[in-house]
Amino acid sequence: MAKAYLKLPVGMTTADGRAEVECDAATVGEALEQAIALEPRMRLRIFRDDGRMYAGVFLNGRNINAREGLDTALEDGDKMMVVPPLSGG
Amino acid sequence: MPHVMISSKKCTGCHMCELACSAYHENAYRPSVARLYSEVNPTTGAIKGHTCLQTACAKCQEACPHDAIVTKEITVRVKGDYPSKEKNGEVVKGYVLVVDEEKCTNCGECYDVCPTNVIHEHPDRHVAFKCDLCDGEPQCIAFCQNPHVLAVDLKVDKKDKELQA
Amino acid sequence: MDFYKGRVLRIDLSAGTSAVEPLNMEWAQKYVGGKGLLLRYMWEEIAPKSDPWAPENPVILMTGPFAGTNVSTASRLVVGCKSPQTGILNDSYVGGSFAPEMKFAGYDAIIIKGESPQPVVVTIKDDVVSFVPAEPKYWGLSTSEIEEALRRDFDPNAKTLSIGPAGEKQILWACLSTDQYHKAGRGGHGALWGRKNLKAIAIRGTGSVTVGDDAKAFLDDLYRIHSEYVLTEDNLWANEEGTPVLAQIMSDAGVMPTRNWSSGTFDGVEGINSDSFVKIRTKNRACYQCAIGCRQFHEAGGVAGEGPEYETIALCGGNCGIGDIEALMKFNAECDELGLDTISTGSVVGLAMDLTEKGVKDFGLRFGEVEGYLKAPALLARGEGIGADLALGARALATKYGHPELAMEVKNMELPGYDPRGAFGMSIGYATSDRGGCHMRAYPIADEIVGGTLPPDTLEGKAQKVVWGNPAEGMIGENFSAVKFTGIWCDFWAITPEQVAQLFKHLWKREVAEDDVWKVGERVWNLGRLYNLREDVEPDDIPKKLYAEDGAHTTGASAGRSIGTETFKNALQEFYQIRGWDENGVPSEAKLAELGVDVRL
Repeated sequence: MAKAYLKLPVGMTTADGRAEVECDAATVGEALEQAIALEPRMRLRIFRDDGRMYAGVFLNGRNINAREGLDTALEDGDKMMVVPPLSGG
Repeated sequence: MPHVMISSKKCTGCHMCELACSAYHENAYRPSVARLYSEVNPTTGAIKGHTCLQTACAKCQEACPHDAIVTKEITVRVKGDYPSKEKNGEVVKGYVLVVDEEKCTNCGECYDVCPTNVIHEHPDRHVAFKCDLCDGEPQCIAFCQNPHVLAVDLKVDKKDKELQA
Repeated sequence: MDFYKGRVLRIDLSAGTSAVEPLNMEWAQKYVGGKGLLLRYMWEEIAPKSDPWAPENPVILMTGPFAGTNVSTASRLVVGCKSPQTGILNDSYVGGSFAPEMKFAGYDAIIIKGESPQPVVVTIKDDVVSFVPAEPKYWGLSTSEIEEALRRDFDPNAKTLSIGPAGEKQILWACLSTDQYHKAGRGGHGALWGRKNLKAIAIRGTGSVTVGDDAKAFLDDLYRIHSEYVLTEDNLWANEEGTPVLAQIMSDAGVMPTRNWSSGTFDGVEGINSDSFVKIRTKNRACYQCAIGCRQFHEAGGVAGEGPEYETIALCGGNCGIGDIEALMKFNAECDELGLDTISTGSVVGLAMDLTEKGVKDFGLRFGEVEGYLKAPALLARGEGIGADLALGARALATKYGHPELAMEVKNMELPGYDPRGAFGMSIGYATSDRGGCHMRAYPIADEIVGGTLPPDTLEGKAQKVVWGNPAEGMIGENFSAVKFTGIWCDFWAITPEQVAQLFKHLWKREVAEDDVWKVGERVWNLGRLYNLREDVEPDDIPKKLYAEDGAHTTGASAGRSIGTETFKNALQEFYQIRGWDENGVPSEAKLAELGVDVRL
């Protein structure tokens, strides 16, 4: 198991006012489930209603799809971030 | 009371409230004839909300020489899942000031005394027009889509609270 | 008439007169509004192969049918012309509140022709159009000063579209500004206003936009659309974080142009990424009639204001080797006040730094050095000192000093903030964009880098994505960007074709299938292609090093990757086949007939 952190969207904080959720999990997928349990609003930031993952999930700056996706293994201190497939800019 | 308030801290200056207000009352989008507005400084982004405070102010009613500003009972049901629902509950009873267009002579006394500049001569009907809380379902609150917190919200004071009981 | 005003205002600057004529509703049925209607009017109003600078050639301001209603993000205006920079079509989009005010004043479009004998400001109050001498009071003012002056002198509620000193000097990428921070940035219509001696248009409208005989029914349906489609979690990133979120992601993926495109990863990005901007964020604002509100205000080093957006962070930050957030804020503010497009400005300044460091020509500019960097915009806008060279643009500047390969532009428009060596799909996006080096027509980045649903280091299937995209899931392709630019919706609402159909149903007063929506997009795109072919557009290509085997980066996350010349050329041909065009990109008669395009070469 590894202690990893999921960054919350700007302006959203945990109950104790922190800008990221601390998870204790082996893979990215498990960590996201834990984060969603703590912060339910995060579910629709990552998955559509039918459960399909639509957002980009980054582990230490690299998109997890360039690695093993939700099965990508975690190490202590890993930082995760979620970004919707935005356009323009 | 109750009356609509624009929070100058939460408002993003999108004017959706003015658009919805005008469409509801004029049957077309005409924000120059809206009954509330958010004053935005384009350079600094500073914002000042202008809404009618209804019976909490009533300056127009006092100034009117023809008793054309009438106090009416109203039941307000805020459309949408907004903070005012948690704060004030689903339904709020209270009073609203409305213009009796038969009595109004467009003399302009109220236009001069309104502290928030939200009562004016209607360009087509040439009588005073002001916020009437959309017969109980304020469109400005419905369309205040500030994603996090309601910028345009319903303010209710002690007097109203007693009325609910 | 609902949604449209059915009126076009023609302004003749040579004679100082104006006239109103009916909007061509036959064209509006086919091309709806915004980009589509703009291109159809340009086809008629601009003589084929004529000089973009010619007095009789217009700059056209076109609204979308939903401007001036509660339809979110539809307050955008499109500014169009034959570009003096690229010689082909230019359609530049800007937010703020100018388009809604045009509708309330009674106009769907304003066509500006001629050249004023002396500098002028045009003021419009509903039906009253006046020509006000711009000297001595207005000519020379910065964009914020002219707006404040016209609110003071003309109408406190006036909305203004204006050029800054750069437009007065006819710089090829001078932009039009409105509501202080919004810029119709690229393509040179600001230069045309300068040539036409037009400093600003100030407009005030007290009329209305009707939406059918029962506005309350429209409001109810719109309330549903907002709750279900606009204020959803996936649309809130723009309000919460904004485009600076792209800085770290693009650099980490080897896509951020760095030190004149010599790498895709910028070692100083931590200084100018989203976390750095969130620390100096002061407030968040919205464009008129927009429920999302993506405008992020910041304050640093005595500079306060809106932005910068990602493109400015990339081209004026990474591309110039500048990781100092205060310097970047100052540079952005300078460009805003002078009325300069920050993408092209950052591109030519990065090029000048490159030429200096390579010992070709000393511009007094070096990557990462703040002093000369901060002087560049003013020199450029006024054409003084090194400014005369900078104003040539990347292609002419690099060629003048014997290094054309260092100019990063397509059809003479400098490339924005995405290096195709880190995201292969952008190579086809840039090559086939209908106005030159632009990222807004197809955005494979959404799938290749942000969503990560497509591998970034292959062109496999990318031509198909550039044409069609998959807007319901993320990436916008050319055909759907044409729909969004026609409605006009902003990119930061990830509206889907099915949702557009629900809004077109109000517009056309009949059931609308998704296929009808796609047809509009493909029709508008093909009209644009015909326009460019009529103006002898150069063949579709991008700077060689972006696909040649020996052009690969040697540093950064995309080091060692190259598309390959053969692969790129084949993908381009695949693109033409998918579009039903021949190998030179000429649409077939069958395709034009199928789409109902009503003009021919």
